[in-house]
Amino acid sequence: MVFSSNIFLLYFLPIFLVCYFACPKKFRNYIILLFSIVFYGYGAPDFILILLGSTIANFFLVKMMHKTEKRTLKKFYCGLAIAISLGLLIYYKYANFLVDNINALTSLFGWNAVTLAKVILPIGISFFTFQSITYVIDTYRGGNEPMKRLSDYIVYIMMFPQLIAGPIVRYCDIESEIRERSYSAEQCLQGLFRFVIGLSKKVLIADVIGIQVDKLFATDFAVMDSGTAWITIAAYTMQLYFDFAGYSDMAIGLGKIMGFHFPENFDNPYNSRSITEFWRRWHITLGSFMRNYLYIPLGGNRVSKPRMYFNLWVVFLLSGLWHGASWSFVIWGAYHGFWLVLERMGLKKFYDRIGKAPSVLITFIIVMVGWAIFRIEDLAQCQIFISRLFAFDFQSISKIYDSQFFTTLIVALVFSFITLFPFGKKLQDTVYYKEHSVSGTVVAWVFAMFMMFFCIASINAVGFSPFIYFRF
Amino acid sequence: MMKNKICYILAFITLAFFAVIFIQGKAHIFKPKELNGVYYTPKAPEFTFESYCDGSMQKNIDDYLRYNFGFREVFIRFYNQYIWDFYKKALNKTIIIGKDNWLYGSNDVENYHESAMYNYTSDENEMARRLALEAGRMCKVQNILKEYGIFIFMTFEPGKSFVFPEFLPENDKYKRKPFHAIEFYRQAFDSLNVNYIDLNQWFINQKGKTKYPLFPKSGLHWSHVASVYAFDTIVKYIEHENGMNLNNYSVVGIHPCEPEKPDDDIEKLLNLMRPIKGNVYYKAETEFTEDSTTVFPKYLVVGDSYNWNILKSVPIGGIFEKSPYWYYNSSLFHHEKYKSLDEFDHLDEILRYKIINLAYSPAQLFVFSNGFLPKTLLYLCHDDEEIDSVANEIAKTIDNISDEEKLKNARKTLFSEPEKYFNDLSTNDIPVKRNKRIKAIMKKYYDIEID
Repeated sequence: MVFSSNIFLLYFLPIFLVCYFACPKKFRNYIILLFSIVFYGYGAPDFILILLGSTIANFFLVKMMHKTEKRTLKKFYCGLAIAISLGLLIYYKYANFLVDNINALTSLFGWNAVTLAKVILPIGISFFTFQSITYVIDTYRGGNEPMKRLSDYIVYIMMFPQLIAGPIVRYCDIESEIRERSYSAEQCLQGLFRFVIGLSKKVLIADVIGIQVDKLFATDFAVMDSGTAWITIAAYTMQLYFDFAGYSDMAIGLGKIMGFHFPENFDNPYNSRSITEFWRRWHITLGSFMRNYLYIPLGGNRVSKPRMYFNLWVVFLLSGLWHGASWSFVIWGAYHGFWLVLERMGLKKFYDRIGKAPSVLITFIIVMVGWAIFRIEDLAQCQIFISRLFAFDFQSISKIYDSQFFTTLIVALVFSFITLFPFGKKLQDTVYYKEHSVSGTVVAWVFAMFMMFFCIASINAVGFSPFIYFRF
Repeated sequence: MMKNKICYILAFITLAFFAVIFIQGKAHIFKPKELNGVYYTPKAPEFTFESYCDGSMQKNIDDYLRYNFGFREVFIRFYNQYIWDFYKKALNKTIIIGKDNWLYGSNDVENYHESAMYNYTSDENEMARRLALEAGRMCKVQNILKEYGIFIFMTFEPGKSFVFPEFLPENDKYKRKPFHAIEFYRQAFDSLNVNYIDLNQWFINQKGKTKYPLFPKSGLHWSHVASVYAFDTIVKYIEHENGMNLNNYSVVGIHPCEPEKPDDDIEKLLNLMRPIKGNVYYKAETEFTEDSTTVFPKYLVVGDSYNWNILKSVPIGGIFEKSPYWYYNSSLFHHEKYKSLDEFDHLDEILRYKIINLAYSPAQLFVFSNGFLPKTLLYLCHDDEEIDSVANEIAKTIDNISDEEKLKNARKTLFSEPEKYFNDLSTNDIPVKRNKRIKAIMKKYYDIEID
């Protein structure tokens, strides 16, 4: 079930909200639990029991880990709990990829191929795996007490707003709110505004751009002029951001309606002056997970420079692999790792010298080229596409006759860079964070309802293409 | 305190907004303007454990809810209006928006730039073979029917893109080799002496000479006024070719009117909230010329949707005794009623009419006759028992369906290309054999004895 669907917007969400707020506070976690199981069970019926099983196993393993005084046993429980979570992730997400690569290797020696039935990737596995790992490790490190109630733990892992696409919420960030949280109508409305902003980003910007992006990526790159190639990649850059950031906004907004405060996941990433900064602004919760649970344990900045560079590179290689089981994601991770290492080696100083605008532009171009690697799975095709970007062959960009696409792309670009200017920052603060006056609240609500209407209209109108007459 | 109260009220109204949509979806209290066009409406999904586990139930629910929720029509019209007003764009892929708000059908435009052939095959030689076969059938059927005093002819209806290409949008997406059936048929019919009237060319010639639109900007078909004049041309052609005097009409007045189906059929398909401004529609007023020598033959039209305008605008009942319309040779329309043509005895039906008009627009010419000609040729030249016997033989080669379905499919196969099964139909000569039932039918309808 995706947020931008009729079943979620017109049925699931309103019914959930009525049940949630009609219920006494002490039972609200059970309502979240019930609806989250329905939410996940609807989309991944085959996997719901495995998810519940692994979650329950983790809960008890962590409980045992916390109870035991023996260090080795503690380590064992911790390791086992992480192994279960990572094992599921590796099996469901990477088994086919591993088998394909093993077979590619064995075929070189003429050995028999390994066979494995196609493993279907359960939705959201990358996110809830990381959440369970934060729970295990944070408790192991002694940062927090384990959950007393199993139902509360399942709520933490399976809470439907962030179950499918994050943000990755660390256990320590939400622990107290799972136990007790405050509610207010104003907070609910703020959550609604945030949800609608996210929905609009996804439906009115990302999805509109996405239709043309798919067409453009389906064309023959060999004959693509540089203008069209840049429009293609710029559009995909915007689509990806508005889709993902929109989803995070929706999750954060839903959380707020329910009384939770989920961490921010995006902070105008395309305004970054370096790739290092980009990763502090893009998918922030993944970045912080990688830093806290991988980079720092590997030694962080406290090791020799070559080792630090190597660690950085490994972290980004794995981060790429986390995004998908394909070599293009690995290369994308390595590409970002390469720029990060280069920045640490001195490129960052160069950026500082040339000033804000040029460094933002260079970073944006590096990110866009990265998205080409991310999107085009066929490496040979990817190479052709990137070569078209830098062929400086600007014969025609008028092949795309879609004014809605261009307008939306311009709007997306404006909103992506607006916070580079003080008035843009002010506008963002007003929309996202500022407490509104009575009249401001009413105006924001009217706007939110209009946008909600608009989004529902768009979701249902796109794809509705009746025939003029019945054809025999 | 005040703010808190207002927040509660707004939160309540938000939930009420969803409740109203939910209630309307179930109870249909309000009656918003229905959406136009032909589309598939999913049925309510069945809930079974198997369908839940394999995900098909969820897919069906999603499909069902896309088509069944409160005020769906309003939501869709609102969005369509938005993209029309702001971007002059249509989400409907069958609509092409031209310059100055001229609307075209995508099939018509594709046929103009490239060919509607590509909907059926990308092999030009194969299509040429099919068209040549159809032209040959037309020639044979024309000659055989002539033996019984029946006049069959072809009408090339005008294509909007052919007549008004200047309003087509600039586009370079059409790159495939053009192949126009109308040009192929013109040449073939000329060499085979097949009766035809080319209204496509006639419309192109009329451009700029008439002050009333030949095509409405917002419709797929010729305008009502143009169809009145076009049909007058058809009547004159029939009179000339048959030496008969039909009841003639003349246009006595033309006045603006509200759009009538199918004047604005493409615009309707846009499903906007309000009509496009600036479009003017006209209706022609006709009057018969008194003449005591006129005859009133029975007239059959087999063709595409252009004939609707004629049925609406021309007093056709005053010219022909009977004038049914075999819409795409699939359903019969007569006296405001539809019937499936499967219900009729094909041979018996066609021999009732003195004049048969096969009328197709350029894009539809690739499916010219929709199987009418091969079926007619077969029934004219072979007895019903022979046809049934061959159909039974074909049915034996079909597996995995019921006997009834087998026979149905076998007849379909046979009727689509009877030349494959009857050698006398596959040569260029006019077959000599005739269905023995023809005699009885001619006796029944015309009281004529045939040797």
